[in-house]
Amino acid sequence: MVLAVWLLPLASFLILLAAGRRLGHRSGVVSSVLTGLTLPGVVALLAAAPAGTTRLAAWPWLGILGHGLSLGWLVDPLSVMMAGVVALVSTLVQVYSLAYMKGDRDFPVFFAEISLFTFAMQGLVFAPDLLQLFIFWELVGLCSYLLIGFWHTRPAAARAATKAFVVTRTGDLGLLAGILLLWSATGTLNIPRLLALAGSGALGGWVLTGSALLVFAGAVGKSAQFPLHTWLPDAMEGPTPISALIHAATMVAAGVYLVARMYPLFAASPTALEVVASIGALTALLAAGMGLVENELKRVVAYSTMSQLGYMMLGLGTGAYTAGLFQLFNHAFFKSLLFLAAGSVIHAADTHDLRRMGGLARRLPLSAPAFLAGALALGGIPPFSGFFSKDPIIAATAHQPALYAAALAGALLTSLYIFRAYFLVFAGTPRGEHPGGEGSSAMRGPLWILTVLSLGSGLAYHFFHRYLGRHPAAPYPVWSGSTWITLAVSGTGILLAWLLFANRPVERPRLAAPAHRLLAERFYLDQLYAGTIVRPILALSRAASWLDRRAVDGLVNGLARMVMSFGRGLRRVEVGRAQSYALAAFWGLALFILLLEGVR
Amino acid sequence: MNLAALLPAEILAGTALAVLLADLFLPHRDKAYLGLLSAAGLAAALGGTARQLAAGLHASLWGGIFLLDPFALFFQTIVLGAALLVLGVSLPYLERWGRDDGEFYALLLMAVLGAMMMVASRNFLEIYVAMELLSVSSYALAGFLRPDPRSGEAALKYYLQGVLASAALLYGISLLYGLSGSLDLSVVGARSAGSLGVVALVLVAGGFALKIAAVPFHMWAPDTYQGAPAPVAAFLSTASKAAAFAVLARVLLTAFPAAQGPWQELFAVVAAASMALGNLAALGQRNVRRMLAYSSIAQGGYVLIALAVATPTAVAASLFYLAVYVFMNVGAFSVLSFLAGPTGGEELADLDGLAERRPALALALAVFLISLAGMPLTAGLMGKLYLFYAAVQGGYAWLALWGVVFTVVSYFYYFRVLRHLFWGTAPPRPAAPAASVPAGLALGAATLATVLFGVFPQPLLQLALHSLGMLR
Amino acid sequence: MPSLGDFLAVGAGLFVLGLFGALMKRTAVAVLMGIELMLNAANLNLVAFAAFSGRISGQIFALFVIALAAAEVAVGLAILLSLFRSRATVRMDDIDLLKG
Repeated sequence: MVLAVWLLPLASFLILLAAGRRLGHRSGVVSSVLTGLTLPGVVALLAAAPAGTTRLAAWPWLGILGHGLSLGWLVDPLSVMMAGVVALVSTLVQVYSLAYMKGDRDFPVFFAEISLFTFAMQGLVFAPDLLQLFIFWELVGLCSYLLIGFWHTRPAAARAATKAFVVTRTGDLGLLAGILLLWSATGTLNIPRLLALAGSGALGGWVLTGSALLVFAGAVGKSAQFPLHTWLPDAMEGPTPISALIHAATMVAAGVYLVARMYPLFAASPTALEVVASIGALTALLAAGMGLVENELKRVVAYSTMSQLGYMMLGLGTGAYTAGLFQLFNHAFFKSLLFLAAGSVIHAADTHDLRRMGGLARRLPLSAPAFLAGALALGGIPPFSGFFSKDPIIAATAHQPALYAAALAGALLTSLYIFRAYFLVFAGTPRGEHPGGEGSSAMRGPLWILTVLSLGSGLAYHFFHRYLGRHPAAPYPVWSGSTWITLAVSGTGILLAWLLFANRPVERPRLAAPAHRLLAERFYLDQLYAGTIVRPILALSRAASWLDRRAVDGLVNGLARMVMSFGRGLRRVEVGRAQSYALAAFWGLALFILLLEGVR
Repeated sequence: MNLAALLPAEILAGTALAVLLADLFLPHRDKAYLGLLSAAGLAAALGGTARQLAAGLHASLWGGIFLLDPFALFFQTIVLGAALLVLGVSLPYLERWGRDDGEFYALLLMAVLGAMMMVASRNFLEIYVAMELLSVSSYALAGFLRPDPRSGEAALKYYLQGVLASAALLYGISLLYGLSGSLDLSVVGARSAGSLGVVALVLVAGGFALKIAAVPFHMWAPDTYQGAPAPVAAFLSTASKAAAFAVLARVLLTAFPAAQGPWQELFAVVAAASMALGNLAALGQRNVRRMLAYSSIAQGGYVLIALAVATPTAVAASLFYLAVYVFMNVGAFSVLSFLAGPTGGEELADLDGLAERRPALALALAVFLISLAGMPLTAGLMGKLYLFYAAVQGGYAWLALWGVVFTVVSYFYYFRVLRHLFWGTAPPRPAAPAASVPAGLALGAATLATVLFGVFPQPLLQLALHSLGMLR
Repeated sequence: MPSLGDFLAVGAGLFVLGLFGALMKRTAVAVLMGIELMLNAANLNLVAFAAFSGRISGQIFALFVIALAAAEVAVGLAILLSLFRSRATVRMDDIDLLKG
């Protein structure tokens, strides 16, 4: 059953690879159907893996260095939940793309890459071994790289793809280091065994905390958390369905999944948990602030993704394990809904710019309520799904004032920015030419389903908690003392947005100018990275090239001149490049002799 | 017994002589047969060596001058395999340049013979002679495109550096001989303590490090790899490098285990410097062949981690790495050899839109590059993983971390090439010449092996560990 | 009768002299001569060590080196000749087409 869920997308990829061009438009249908067929498989897994069970199937792969590494799968409630999200969203997004990507020159390639992504993502989800997880982790990164740059004639797309790739790889460096550390400390990369070691206290001290933090670094890169978040807004250069699938529902959530997967490792180290919670809260707040001043519809939604991922991390970090994962679950649906609705808007309005939209509610009778449903779910208004996961997360921080304040401020900003977007797009009078209308049925169907899910998925909290909670016996805190505060704050945000942005012709910067600048420039982090990392590396690179060629020449010639000047007076001497190379080597020899004599 | 064990080398020598002789009599249009004859000779030698390796041959020949142990046989297999791939790619390349004479094949076979003898030598005299055979043939190969002044310059630079290094090596050997009164590896080290011994050790190690193109003995590599014929650059950066590494490891591990502490530190520094300089300098290159040259300096740095750590795990990891490195690096240089014309054609911009013009070539190059970068499901990742793991386990965690950091730096330039391959818009240009059957076979084999050893690394790793068991 | 030390000193001197020539001379032919000196310095060492220890292997090694040096120089001159044909120079500082 696992194999069906995992390998059907691979089969689809291989079919499209072999016959994509010949299938033409049908290739999308093939891929959608094959992905859709994995859904019954997930349901069967749900039955086969009841709460509290872990089924491990692993075959030895490498058995020499250290102890064995294995390939296989790990089926437990966590992986089944994640696999369900991946399969469902992937299917819906592919159906939507049938219409959205129609007529694109590389239509079959698009579906081939989505299939490959789905396969890689399921491989990551079911990985029983950190090395296997890492392999698929990189593979989804590669697919993301390919799909961000899908419209390759746009230079911005190619740049964004490379940026996303390199920034997330920086986090992966930490993950790889963490894997090496765990491997050399325990001799195993088998996840259940590692977690058992961490839980029993056999793994402790700096190795425990260090490896947890290094693993978290990988999650930070993948889930676009501060300070490695800069790639996600740029990644919106990819096609909108990709943004919905990869950069909202699944791949970026893989970071949260990784933390949840390794949760006992984190739970054993209070420091690690604190770091996770702080990074999460900080990201939730900062991203919401940046979303407020953004003028591109898709990027607003992207900031909201970062912010919501921050809430998930915050939940996991403060011990609200179920709520954090429930947020992942709900977010997958309402965020892909927001993206797909935004896709319809962009299709209809033919622009990304909020300031040139407006009054679109009448032209988009389905997308407008769909976006509204997504926005209400995002804002955490009951009975929409976000309420059932976000409120418990915020409540869990209540005893830590700083986190609580950040979480509440984030909630205020969340409803403010998403309703700002809503009002600017749908309310008021049109501020530009809007040629199109609602898309075909292939685009409308997924919107309907996701709207229903955004409305309903939160109500399943009881089942969700019983199924994969760490303490399923304890009640799920759906209504607590702080709920009224949260609701009041969110409501204020919506009201403010209505006052400020509905029925206004053109938006002027509303916030105090310096604050606006700071947010619009994204806290100058991109510039900071360019200045402190990218430029120094390039400078180092130039220095290395210079040292390697010119400097050696100069030194050799200087030396030669010096030597010659003793004998025949000053005479210009230029020795050849080849000779300076050789002299550099002999200097190296002399240096090494000195070093070794010194060591002795 | 002795002659039978050396059969692969004898086949190679015989083929080389036969090619030279036949070259005198064959009319020009039939010269292609010489290439096929050489390929047959190489394949026969490869088969023989692989059989010896599989049989676990462990033979000491002529009073210990040669030692055909699994370690030597492993490297002989690597060298022969690399040469066979290079030969396959050379056939259309030389034809295009109008230089498809028998000399090239004879020189290549001689170089391979030198490398084969070198890794099996246990005596400094034999090491020196074999290395000279490899070197002199390599100099001539590097300058083989006589009409092109860049080829001549590449050869001259390599020659000058190589000859100076071999003079230093020889001087070091003479000191060791004086200290120990012997040329035998197993005797020399034990009796060569003292500061003169250190001088000699460094001179000898430097001589081999030059062929590995490790910093600071790397200066010739970018110029030579860029100017030499592309298949020759592929040979120098893989087979020649692997052979030199094998000798260096054997000399250090069997002759100088006593001085282990100090030279470990030395190679830690050399490895770190090679990784840093190679990767950083590659970042700034616009010429892809030159970029690959710096990349192979960095790759040499990864391999040298093994000599710093000097545990069996680490050395086994380096054996694995060198074996898979042959496929990906020969592959990458080979793809370039199809693209370059007399006027260049190896700048980054020349690769724009290659995926549309030559999808198979572009895909192959992409596989080689992501493997060099160390991405999953390629042999390159497994190799790096073993090396870094061995470093952490052997107490050199900082070196592993250093390697991981510069691996990330290397993503910048490897993926920049991919961007040009797949996302550049192709300028109209004459179609690149079609690949011939042997070249296609070589490239296909290299691609397949790069992926295969990434997915099933176990057998090769097992072989590497097994080969090591017999080293001491 | 000179001592072993004397031979070694002469050898070291020759090595340094050859190195100096190889690195500092501007014409390629003079560079080749410098390299020859370095090889012969090593030869002198080998023969001296062999003579003073009564072992013959060093002298055999020296014979090999002499033969190999000839081959090395032959290839070097061939490279120079082919370079001279295309560039009409053997000055070391003119050989600079390839640089980073």
